[in-house]
Amino acid sequence: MDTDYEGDLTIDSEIMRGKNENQLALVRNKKIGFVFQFHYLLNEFTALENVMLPGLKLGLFPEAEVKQHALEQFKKLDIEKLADKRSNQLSGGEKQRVAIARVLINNPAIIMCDEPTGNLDKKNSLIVFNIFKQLAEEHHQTLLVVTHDEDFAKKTHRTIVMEDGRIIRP
Amino acid sequence: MNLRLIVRIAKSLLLARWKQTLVAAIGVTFSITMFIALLSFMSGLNNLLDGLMLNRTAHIRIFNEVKPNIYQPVRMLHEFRDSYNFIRSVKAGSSRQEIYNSGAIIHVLKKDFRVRGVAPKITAPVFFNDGAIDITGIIYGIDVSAESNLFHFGEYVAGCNPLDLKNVSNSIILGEGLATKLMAGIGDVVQVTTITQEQFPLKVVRFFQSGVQELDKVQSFASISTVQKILGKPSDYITDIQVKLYDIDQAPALAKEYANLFQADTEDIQTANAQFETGSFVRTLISYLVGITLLIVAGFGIYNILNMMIYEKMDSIAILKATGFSGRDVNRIFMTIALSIGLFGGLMGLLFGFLFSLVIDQIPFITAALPTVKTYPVDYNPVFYFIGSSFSIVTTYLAGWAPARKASRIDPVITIRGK
Amino acid sequence: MLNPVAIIGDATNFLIEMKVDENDIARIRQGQRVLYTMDSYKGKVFEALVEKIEPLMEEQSRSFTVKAVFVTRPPTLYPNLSVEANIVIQVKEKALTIPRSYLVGDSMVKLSSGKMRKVVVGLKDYQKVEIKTGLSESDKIMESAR
Repeated sequence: MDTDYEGDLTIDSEIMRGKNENQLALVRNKKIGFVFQFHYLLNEFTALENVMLPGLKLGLFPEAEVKQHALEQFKKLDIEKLADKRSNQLSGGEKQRVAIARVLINNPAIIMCDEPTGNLDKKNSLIVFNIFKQLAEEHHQTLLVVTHDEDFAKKTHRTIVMEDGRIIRP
Repeated sequence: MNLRLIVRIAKSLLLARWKQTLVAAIGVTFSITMFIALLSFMSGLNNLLDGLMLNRTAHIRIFNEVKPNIYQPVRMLHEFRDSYNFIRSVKAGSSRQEIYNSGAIIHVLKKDFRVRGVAPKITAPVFFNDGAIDITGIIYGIDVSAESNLFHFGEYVAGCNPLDLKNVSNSIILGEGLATKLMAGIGDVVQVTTITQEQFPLKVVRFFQSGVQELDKVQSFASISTVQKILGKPSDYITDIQVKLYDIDQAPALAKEYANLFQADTEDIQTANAQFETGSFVRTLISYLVGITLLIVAGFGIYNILNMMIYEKMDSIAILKATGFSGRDVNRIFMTIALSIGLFGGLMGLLFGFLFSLVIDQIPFITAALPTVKTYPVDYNPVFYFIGSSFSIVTTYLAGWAPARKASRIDPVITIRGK
Repeated sequence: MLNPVAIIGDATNFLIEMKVDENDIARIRQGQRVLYTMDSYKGKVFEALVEKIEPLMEEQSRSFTVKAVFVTRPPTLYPNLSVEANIVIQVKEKALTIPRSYLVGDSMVKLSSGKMRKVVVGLKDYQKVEIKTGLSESDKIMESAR
């Protein structure tokens, strides 16, 4: 998303520099999943539609199949009952879980999370962490999480400590 | 495929703010309605006014003008041909008003495939005698059926039976104003005096209303044979041949051709009525300007609403981009929103414009000058509907262009980081 | 209407009758050349000579009747045919004329140097003016700006 960096960035052995906006959009669509501190669902759509949108955008499968995939993600995260609700009817934790389901729809190479639990209470944080853990351990999903939550950080497989934009402990 | 998705997203965004959308669409509807109604009405009026003049005017008039001969004898003599001749007091050579060989000319014209019809005419200046006073006037000798077919003569005759002129011998149709001056009613006999001081009684059978009062004060009509009789002229005496063409735009060229062919003077309608076209043009221009102004105002409405929508949906746009929608996709989404407002509003506008025109068409419009017109004239020209709908699309496209571009350029990093 | 029963005349001997405006009558002299055309002989020019000027002016039309005799004439003629005629008052060879629009006021021209010069004008109509003296063929003049 951000093109203002030094050095080279490689995703799936593809160099990102020099790609135009459309190509970068495709990379975001296919290879990366973003989870933010705020849940950023589209309020005009139901939870299911929110999850389906990136899949429809990718356009690899017909709509019925995308819907099938989306429902699988809901099942995986144990939130099937939320599928038909409008996103503004969901609680914070529910929204975050729907957002994670959306991330998973295109089988990304990496999931990037920015303070995924920063806006959640303890209970919901735990749920989200467990989902991440399950993804990483059962589905061998790469996750890159930025967080201020020490508890959360301790439980991850690898922790890099940064301060003011510099790595202080790899 | 991608497009369907874009339309779907656009639809959801639209419906989420349906009240604003409706206001924007109503703006377009209103302006298109007014545009259609205004143009239909204006054009109807224009046609009516043009009809007053153009329907009754020959496309080409062939006549003999009394004027000085440009080929003076001295210029034709070999001796003086190359010198410059100062000629004083050149006078009109011949005073013949009638068209030479008129019968043959009419015959040729009737065979010409470009000519829709030919109507011969005699212009006779006369005095109408009313007691001791003489009122100057003109009697036109006309071929009633040709005149009715080509120049809608019947429409301007009160009671609408101009054939009386043919059936009653020595009859006359008086201009309304002239009849009032003479205090003549139908069935009365009026006395006319020709310029050669001969008197002739004529029976009034109908009145004539041209819509131009000044004309009605001097004009009157009689059959060709009656006028020939009044003037004491033979039956081939014709002073004007009026030609109506299939294609009015050919008139200037054909007028020249006939002038050469028949060795007579010709006048085409474009030259004779140039100022008339200008009037119609200005009226049309004004209606278009008003219509376009309305559309531009509606366009600003759409622009505002889209701009607001983009500010509101900043987060949604950012997330769409983060999940893989490109700037172009976002642009298309907002263009779709703008265009569907334009399309929907425009279609409703066409419908309401048509209904409004129907209403105008029902409003009574009765004027003494136009005996055949009962309601306001409306021109249901499909061209207006075509222009209206294309204008609505173009305006909304332009109104949507800047906001959509802005939306496409939103940087998700900034939006997401800013929280 | 009163119509004559018969008109008596010589059907071989014809005259041309012309109407001349009172403004121009002073220039007409006996013996001047007359060129005429007839509607009945289109495209041909014939010649005649001024024979007589009727001394009494017709008050209605403010014009004089001038009679001319034929020099050349068409083979057959009838009474009351119409004629269009020019009387040649003066023929001048090598006359100097300028376009009317180059004449400033009544008798001035503007030279290309910008100076004004007085000239004596002769005949003029709406297109051209004859210059009698004051200008030669080699002078350059400018159109007068209005």
